[in-house]
Amino acid sequence: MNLEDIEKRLTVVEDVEAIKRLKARYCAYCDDSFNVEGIVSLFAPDGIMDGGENGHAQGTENLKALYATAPSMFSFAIHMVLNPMIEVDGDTGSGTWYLLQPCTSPDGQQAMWGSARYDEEYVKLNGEWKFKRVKIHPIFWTPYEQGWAKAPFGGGMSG
Amino acid sequence: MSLEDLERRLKVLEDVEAIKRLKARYCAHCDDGYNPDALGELFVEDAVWDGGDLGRHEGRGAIRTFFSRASKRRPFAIHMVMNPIIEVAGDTAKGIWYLFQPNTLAEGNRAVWGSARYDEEYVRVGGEWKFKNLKVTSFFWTPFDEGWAKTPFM
Repeated sequence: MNLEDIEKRLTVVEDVEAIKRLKARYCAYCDDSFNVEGIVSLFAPDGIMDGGENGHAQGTENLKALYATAPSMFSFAIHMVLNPMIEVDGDTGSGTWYLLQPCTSPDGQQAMWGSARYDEEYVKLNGEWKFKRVKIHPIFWTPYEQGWAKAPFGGGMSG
Repeated sequence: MSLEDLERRLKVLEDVEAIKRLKARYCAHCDDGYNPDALGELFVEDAVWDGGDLGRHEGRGAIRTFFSRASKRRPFAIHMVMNPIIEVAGDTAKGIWYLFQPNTLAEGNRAVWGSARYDEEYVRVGGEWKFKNLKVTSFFWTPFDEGWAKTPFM
């Protein structure tokens, strides 16, 4: 064991913590009425958002266009993320998260519970971690009054 | 790179983990009937707890008094915290969290979903991290049978 080995291990732990902050900042920007500039600033220039049939975009301008449509899906959202599994290998990394998202339909009338898994890739550019790819797998998206047993996909996002 | 550099970087990571434990302890004591003695220990003497409409309390004494009365109004609560953004600078730090809180109001025995954001400042005193400032910005406090679209705030 030498200083170089220790520094490598330390850097990995710092990077995992930095990626956790990146994800929390993503959530905060989304929940700030989908702050498009903020959200997209967290992606690499060729970054990808892959929501399957819920939306897909690559690159800064396309990502801005995609996130600008988010208020047409939700008038309110709180993105709570948990259960991170993050791995770092030099200047790239990968991670999965659970999402629990209380949210509301665009007309403000219908509360919904959203549950999903994020599968992500990260890249370190100029010393800062950015999203290379964010893939979302919806698990349920259910009207508040019905719940995930009665109506696992009753509105908001499709599975 | 020197041993000192490595040690400094390691200390920051240890401090982040210590602050996460501080926050989890805060939640555990709140959920233990808002234990005022235990909660008071987590704040410095001139700390401020600012919950907006939930109340503002300056100084450890006022904060303890606030907590000593809380469980009468809210006899059950589970403070779940996530999405931490913690930044340490020597012996001070800042943190942001999300709160998700199933709870019960004594009046009407009503189950409530609470959702909020914490903005916090911490300070290391005698080797231990404590709260200096704790601010709560509420997103919703809604009856279980109604939800945040119908009734974001009771």
